[in-house]
Amino acid sequence: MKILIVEDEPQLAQSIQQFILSEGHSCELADNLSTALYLVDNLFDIIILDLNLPDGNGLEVIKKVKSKGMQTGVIVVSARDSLENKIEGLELGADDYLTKPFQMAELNARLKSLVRRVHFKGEENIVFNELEITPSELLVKVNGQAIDLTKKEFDLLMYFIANKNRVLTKTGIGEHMSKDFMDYGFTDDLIYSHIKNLRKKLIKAGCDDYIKNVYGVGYKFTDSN
Amino acid sequence: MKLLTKTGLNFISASIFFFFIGSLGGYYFIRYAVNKMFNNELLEAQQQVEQHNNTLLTYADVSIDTLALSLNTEQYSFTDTVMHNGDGNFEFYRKLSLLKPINEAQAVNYTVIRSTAPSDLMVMKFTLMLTVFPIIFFLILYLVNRASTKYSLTVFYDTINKLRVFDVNKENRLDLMTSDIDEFEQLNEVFSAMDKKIKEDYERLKEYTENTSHELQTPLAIINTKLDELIQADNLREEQIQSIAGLIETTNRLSKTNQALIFLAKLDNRVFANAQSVSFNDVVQTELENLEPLISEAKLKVEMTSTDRLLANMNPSLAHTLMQNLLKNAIRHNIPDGYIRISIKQQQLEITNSGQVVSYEPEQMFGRFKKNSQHPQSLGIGLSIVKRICDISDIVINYDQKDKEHIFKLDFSK
Repeated sequence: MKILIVEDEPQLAQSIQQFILSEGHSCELADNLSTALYLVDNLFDIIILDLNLPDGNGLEVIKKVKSKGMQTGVIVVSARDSLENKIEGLELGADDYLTKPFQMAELNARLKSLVRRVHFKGEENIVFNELEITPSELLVKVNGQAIDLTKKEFDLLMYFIANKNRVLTKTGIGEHMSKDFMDYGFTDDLIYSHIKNLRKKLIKAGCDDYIKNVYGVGYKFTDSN
Repeated sequence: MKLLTKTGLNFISASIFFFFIGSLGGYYFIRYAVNKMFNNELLEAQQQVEQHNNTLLTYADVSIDTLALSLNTEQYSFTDTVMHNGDGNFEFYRKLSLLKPINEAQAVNYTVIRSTAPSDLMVMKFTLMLTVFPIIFFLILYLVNRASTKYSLTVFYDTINKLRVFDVNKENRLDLMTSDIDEFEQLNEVFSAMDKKIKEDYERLKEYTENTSHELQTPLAIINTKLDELIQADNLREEQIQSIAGLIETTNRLSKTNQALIFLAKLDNRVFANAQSVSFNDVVQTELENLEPLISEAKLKVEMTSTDRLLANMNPSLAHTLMQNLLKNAIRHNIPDGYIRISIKQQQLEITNSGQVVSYEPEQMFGRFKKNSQHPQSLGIGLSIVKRICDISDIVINYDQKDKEHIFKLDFSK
């Protein structure tokens, strides 16, 4: 997967780049609008785009990509978090909109979901050992047996699978779960109950307990000890 | 008391007092003038009688007696007297008694009387006129004055009404009426200048808060991602993990506080227009489902009664944020095996929860960063967001504490 990162903050750009490389993708970096506009002449699968660039508005990049009819997914990452900004970005053709500050795991989850949508039109099944997930149908099977999860639990499982083998902080999970509404603090116990329920349902269906507790930090979805 | 009423009352009571004194004075003055006239007439009558020895006068009665009295000079006196007339009624008379010495041992006494009845009537009429006309005159003066003052005061009342609904959050300028009265014109100028200044300052302050909060977002994003990178490492010692966990926790608080402040700033800026009809029955239902894990975790009993559909015209996501914050508050500040009661009526929504007695004053409840130390995760900003949402959505919210029950009452009838 070829990914372009457009971000003027060198520290942040570097972190995202390292992360993407660690996920096994190739990536290029642009720290201003003109470089970005020059680079998108090449074909990228996904662009991670900051809007506030020193020499202009990142939305220009979306306009250019869409005008060329490329099948490129765009995730906007911006400190502008008003609804208008989001709508503007999404209407121009961005596929997702993430507001700063964000968790890397969140970006990862959105990235994977976008890859599925762009390349597999959402048809792909995700398989993790005895777990099989069909995202388009919100369907989860353990050893071929479908199990009944709530929307939140399904969402949580998808987040874990997208970020398998990574330590996920309670904060990150909380933010992922409550992205629809303004939610301040007090999410830890809610996350805890959701995870407890999800765990119970998976184990009951005969699935191994992949959700490991990382004491004091959060959780890790992994099949290795 | 209204200015008009006050000045009117002063005017009227002062007028009554001075009319009273004035008419009394007028009465005595006329009385005096009339008596003077009578005295002259009586004296004239006496002189006529003395000179012509004629007691037959048309306008006065004269009687002459000779008294054994030694006098050096003439003596006379005027008195008012009452006598019976033929019909058995009393009649008022003016009387002159004049003693004139004839020789050393004798004096002659002239008594001249004249009825004052015709002139009394006239005095009464004069007095009446003196009282009634000024009263009518002043009444008209008062009414005209009142109307004119009232007209001039319209500008003043307009200013007061506009100041009463003054909201520093509203964009539009305080549009005050112009007046031809210098004082009011000055007052309005001062208010207009104040309005401009307050709004500019407020605007600048908001901008500052917003910019600061936004500027913090990128550094926070960097700290977040770097901490995330750190925690993913495999070769961390237990203490290192704990330190990083602490850092993550703190950064999280910082960024949540920051987000909450940005959200409040957005509420203040009325970013959430997009009002539509929202059913609070549905909103409560959805939020209860979302919070179900928490509710069962805390072993709370939720009772919901609704007699009506409660529809409100507001931004749907604000409605959800509002209910979510209130319900979470009710869950968090509850006791084990406690309860939450939600009652929805036509224009009213009530959330009652069991809990412990807290020492806050009800008014302080919605203050920013007011929090209970028992819940370190709380930012103390949730209820302040609730209040702000209510304010901009025309919902009146009240908090009450009864024994160990906490009640939030939302009134939508405004």
